[in-house]
Order: sequence, then structure tokens, then C-alpha cells
Amino acid sequence: MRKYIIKRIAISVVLLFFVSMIIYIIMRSIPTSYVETQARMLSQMPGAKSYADWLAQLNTTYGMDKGILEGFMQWASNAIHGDFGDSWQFNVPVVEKFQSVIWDSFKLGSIAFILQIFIAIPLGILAARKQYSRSDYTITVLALLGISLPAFFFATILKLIFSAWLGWLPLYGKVGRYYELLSGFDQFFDIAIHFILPILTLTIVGVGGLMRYTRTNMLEVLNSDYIRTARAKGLSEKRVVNYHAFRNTLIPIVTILGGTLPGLFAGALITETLFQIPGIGYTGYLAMVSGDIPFTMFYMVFMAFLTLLGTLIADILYAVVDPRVRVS
Amino acid sequence: MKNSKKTTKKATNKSSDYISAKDARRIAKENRRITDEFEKIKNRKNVPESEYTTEMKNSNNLLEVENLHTYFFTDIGVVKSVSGVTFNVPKGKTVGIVGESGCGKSVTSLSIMQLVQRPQGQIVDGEIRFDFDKAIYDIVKIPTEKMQDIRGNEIAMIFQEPMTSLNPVFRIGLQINEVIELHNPEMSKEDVKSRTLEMIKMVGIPDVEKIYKMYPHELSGGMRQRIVIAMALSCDPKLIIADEPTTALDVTIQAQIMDLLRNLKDRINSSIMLITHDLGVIAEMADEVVVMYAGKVVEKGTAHEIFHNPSHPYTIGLMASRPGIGDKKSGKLFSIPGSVPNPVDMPNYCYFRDRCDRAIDACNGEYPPQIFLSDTHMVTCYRYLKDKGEQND
Repeated sequence: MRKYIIKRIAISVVLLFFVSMIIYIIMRSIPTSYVETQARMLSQMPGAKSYADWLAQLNTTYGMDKGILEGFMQWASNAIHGDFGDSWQFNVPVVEKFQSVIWDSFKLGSIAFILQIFIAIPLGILAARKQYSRSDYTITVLALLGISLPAFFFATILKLIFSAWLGWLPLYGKVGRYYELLSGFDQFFDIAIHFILPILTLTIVGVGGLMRYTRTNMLEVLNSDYIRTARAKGLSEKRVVNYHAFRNTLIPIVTILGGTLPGLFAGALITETLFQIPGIGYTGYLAMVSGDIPFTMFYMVFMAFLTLLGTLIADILYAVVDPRVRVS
Repeated sequence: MKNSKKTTKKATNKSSDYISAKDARRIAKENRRITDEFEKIKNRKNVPESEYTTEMKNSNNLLEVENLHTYFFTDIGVVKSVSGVTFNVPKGKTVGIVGESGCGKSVTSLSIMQLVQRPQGQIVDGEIRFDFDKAIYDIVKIPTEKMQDIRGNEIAMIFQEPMTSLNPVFRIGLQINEVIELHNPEMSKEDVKSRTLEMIKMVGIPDVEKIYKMYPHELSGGMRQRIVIAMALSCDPKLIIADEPTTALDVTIQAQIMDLLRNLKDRINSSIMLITHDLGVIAEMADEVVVMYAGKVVEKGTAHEIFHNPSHPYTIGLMASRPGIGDKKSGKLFSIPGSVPNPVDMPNYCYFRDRCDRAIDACNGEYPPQIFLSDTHMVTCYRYLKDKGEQND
């Protein structure tokens, strides 16, 4: 197993190198250019140098005068030493900006993720146990709604009900107006109350897919021969479902849960924008449309790293739950 | 002209599997109504014991199945998998049940275990009486919690697919321990383990300690089938239902498994209900034979009677389709022409009539009655109905 993991890590490093190269090439090739935008702006100032002069100067300053491959090599060698440079758009070191926005997104993502698991899996199992019953149809229709309707729809509906009509929860923002005046616990409470609606939105949107996946897998497991054997042993229905069937349902679920690890850090662009929470999804979007290569590179490569880590974790977990795939 | 058109339309309607949306809705609604009623009865709490206590017809019998009807309420209509099956399993004897695929053998055995897939599958009529020494219960009416004490303990089942019958994520030891622990809560952990090891050894697997820690995928098909047998026998059941225990295995392993079952039967003196379509196995193992066709018993008797005097045309056909060693008469294996009638839409005459090569005029009448050729030999075929006076119900 150790040998297998080491091999996988080695492959991941090679993959990461090529993935970041592709991202860099794309970033350099897209029409949005930070340098060109800046040069145009500066050249329009009264008494400024011409656009061509500014462009040449800025290209040298931002290191864009080198070729794409050369530029990538420069970026990569800096990155290996832990230097990801300064963000062009935000004028602070990339890592600093990242740290200041990631945690809000992570909190939103992880809480929604935990809620999704605790809602979707039991509901999926219930729907499978009572296939074609009224509760099954109800759960399936709700799941379908969750999958088909977009996040902005739910966000708007929730805002309408809980903020506009009932007035229980704030409409948007991360903190309230008097945040600075509050004491420690009240500050926490203030943030918490602002996070309820975004988390609810993310949960509703994500729960459907996982629930349907659980239901399908549980149905398949419940119809298998070894479940009949378990029943023939005289085990109670509870033990058959919660122990024998659940352990087998876990196998495919674990693989997709491993794959959602990058999702926790990816942020939710639409939800964050709708609720005006300055998370990584929104920040990453701003960086990308302004052509901020250092920040986008760091963000995308970090995502690639997490994706690779997620698949590795999923594979290891797979071996934990399914003895058939254990590598000896 | 008009008339002929009408008949062709009717014929196509009957032969095709197509059902209109309206019909499908009607069937689904009807099915739900019927199954809900059965489920309601099944899901009652605290059923009084008197309701499912019954009497044996013959005290030598361990199991008496009488007029069993197990139906499946599917979207295309009611499938009468088992309709009116009656047979007995005497104490300490082996009863073989033969018949082609889909004739209701497995559903009969699952009914005895109360393992028919609910809510679609339901036992709609009949009695399954089982002698539990202290009392005699009707398995059809017994509540599920009570049945859980019986499954694996008094009645154990060996399934036909050894490759998929064991849970892939649990170790062999755990899976056998589980059933022993469940039915013997007073046993200590060490006792349970030593019993498990003893069972694994009993089914002829060497190196028990190693097998105890293995997962099912690490064993071969024959080994897995032995584990399934060990699991079934670990609580010394009174009745072992072996549902095609050797179908998935090659011939040498088959012989070993059969030897094993026979030895075990002698050792713990239980009865075996052996379900198979292998007549060779039946000839070797069974004391009594039940021949099933399309959900009904067409002939039953002692093994001697069935093999030396097969009477129902279906049994005769079955015997003729056995491959014989050194059989040089023709290169081809005999097969019964035609196929089983559609289980959703059973005819009201003898189900075998359309495939029968000896059909007589009487066969156009309703389903033939039971005719006793001897005290033990029963056949349902008009050819043996000499005159009405001899008919014995």
C-alpha cells in the first residue's frame, strides 16, 4: 500500500506540472490582458506617454515580454520556492490575498457539505427502502427540484421568504452594520446569522444529486444476493440495512465524496455574489476577468492540487471500505 | 369481413406484451390496493400466538405446504409464480423439487423462508405448517419478528449463487459468527469463534484459521459454496433448503458438495429440501420427488416411483432429456418442444397441453384433478383418469 501511495504521489507531481503549464498557456492566450487594459488607461491620462510606450514599459515590469514557455518556467521555478508573486489586481502578495478570502468560502462550503451528507444519505436510504412509496416519490421529486433549479433561484426565494417577508435573517453581507461595536460572542453570532441563507442555498442545490446517488446505490445493494443471505440468517431488517447494506453502499459514495474535496475550497461564485460575501469564488472571478495571472495561476494550481489529492484520498478510502481493491 | 378483422385485432392484443397507459395505471392502482392490504396485515404489532398456531396433518412430517399461492403483482399484471402447491417434507428425509427454470421452485422455497420480495411478492393463500417441537406454526401468518428467530436457526437456506451470496466487505469469520451469535446469545465470544472454526472444518476446508480471516473474494466458487453451507448449518437447522446448491459449480465439486450434504444430514438428522433441475442429483439424494411445472405440482412420489414409473408427460419428457453416457442412438439431446405459457395469463386447461405429445380429448377441459396411482404417487393428468369413480382428491 505504501509503495502504491508513493507511486501515486510521484505521478501526481508530474500531472500537476503539466496542468499548471496548460493553465499558464491559456491565461497568456486569452484576449483579456491586464497589461493592455492598464496601458490603455494610463495613456488616456492627461499628458501621458503613448499607448505603445506604456505597453512596452508595463510588459517589462510585469515580465510579459518573455515568451509563453519562458514565462511559465520563470513562474514554475518561483512557485517551487514558495514565491507566487504579487497579485496585479489586488496589489498584495497572492498568498496573503488568498488567505484573507478563502476561510469564508471554506466555512460556507464545509458546513453545507456536512449538512448535505447528513441530509442526503439518510433520505436516500429511506427512499430506497421504501421504493415507489409515497415518501420515495416525495424525496425523489424534491431531489429533482434541487438538481434542476439553479442556485440564484433558491437564493432569491429564500431571501424573499426569510428576509423580505419574515424579516428574520439579513438580506446579504457577511457582517451587520454594528459588527465593530459587538463583543466577541455577539460578533460570532452576527456572522453566523449572515451565513445561514448562503449555506441553506448551497445545501439545497447540492443535496439532490447525492441523495439520488445514494438511493440508486442502495437499491442495487438491497437487491443483491448477499442481502438475501443476510435476511436468511434471521438478522433484523435494521441490521440488514444499516450494517450489511450500508457498508456496501458506502463504496461508491466514498469515491464521490473524495472528489468533492476541491469543491470545499473552490468557493461558490454565484451564491457568494448574490449574498455579497467576499469569498474565493468571487475573488477568483474578479482576478480572472481582469487578467490577473499570478492570482489566477495560484488559485487554479491550488485547485488542481486539491483535485489530485482528492482522487488519491478517494482511492485510499476505497481500499478502506472495499477489501476487493486492496493492493497487497 | 368485419368479423375476421375483429378476431385478428383480438389476437394481436393478446399475443403482444404491449399495454396501454390506461391499462398500466389501472393495473398499478389495483396492485397497490391489494398489496397494501397484505402489508397492513403483515405490519400489525403484537399478533397473538393463537393466530398462527396450527396442527400438523401427519406428525411424521416436519413441513407441510398446502395449497400455497405466491403471486407477484407486477406492472404488466399478476404473475402467479406458485399457484396451489402442496407437498410434505417428512422428518429426516430428503425431498427433491425438480422443474425447469421459472416453474416456481425457488419462489416456493423463498415463501417457506418468508423471503419473497415484498411488497410486490405476496403469499396470497395457503398454509405452510412447520413443526417447532414446542408448537406448530403456520409460516404464512407468522409475524416477521418471530420469523427472524426461525430463519437461519430452525430453517436454513443454501442459495444457488455462491459467488454473490456472501457479503464482499466482511470477513468470512464475521459472517459465520454473526448467525451463531444471533441465535445463541448466551454463547461467549470464544465459543462462537470455536464453533465457527468447527463449522468451516466440517465442510472440508483445511487451514481454518486462515480462512476465518479471509474475505469472500479471496476464495474460489467451491470454497465459497462450502462457506455458505457452513453458515446455513451452523445452528443445526431442522430443515435445510438447498436451492440449486451445485448449479454454479463444476461436476467434481458438485459431487463433493452432495457428499457433504448427505453426511451432514445423517449427522444432525435434519430434513433437506433439495431444489434442482439436475435429475442425476435428485436420483442420488432424494427420498421423495416433487415435479413442478408452471407454478403447480404435476407429479409427486417416492424417488423410485418417479424414476421407474414417470407418469406425467412432462416428467417423461424431463427423463428423456437427460444426457446418457454411451447413448449412441442419436447425436441430439431430446428437448420438450414449445415453451411455458405466459405466467400473467395462464390458460384454464392443463398448462402442459400445448406442448404435450400425448394430449387426449379430455385435455381440453379444465385443469386436471389430482390422481393417485398409489398411496404416495400423485399425478395431474387426464390420461390416468380411468373413470370418475376412481378419482381421489
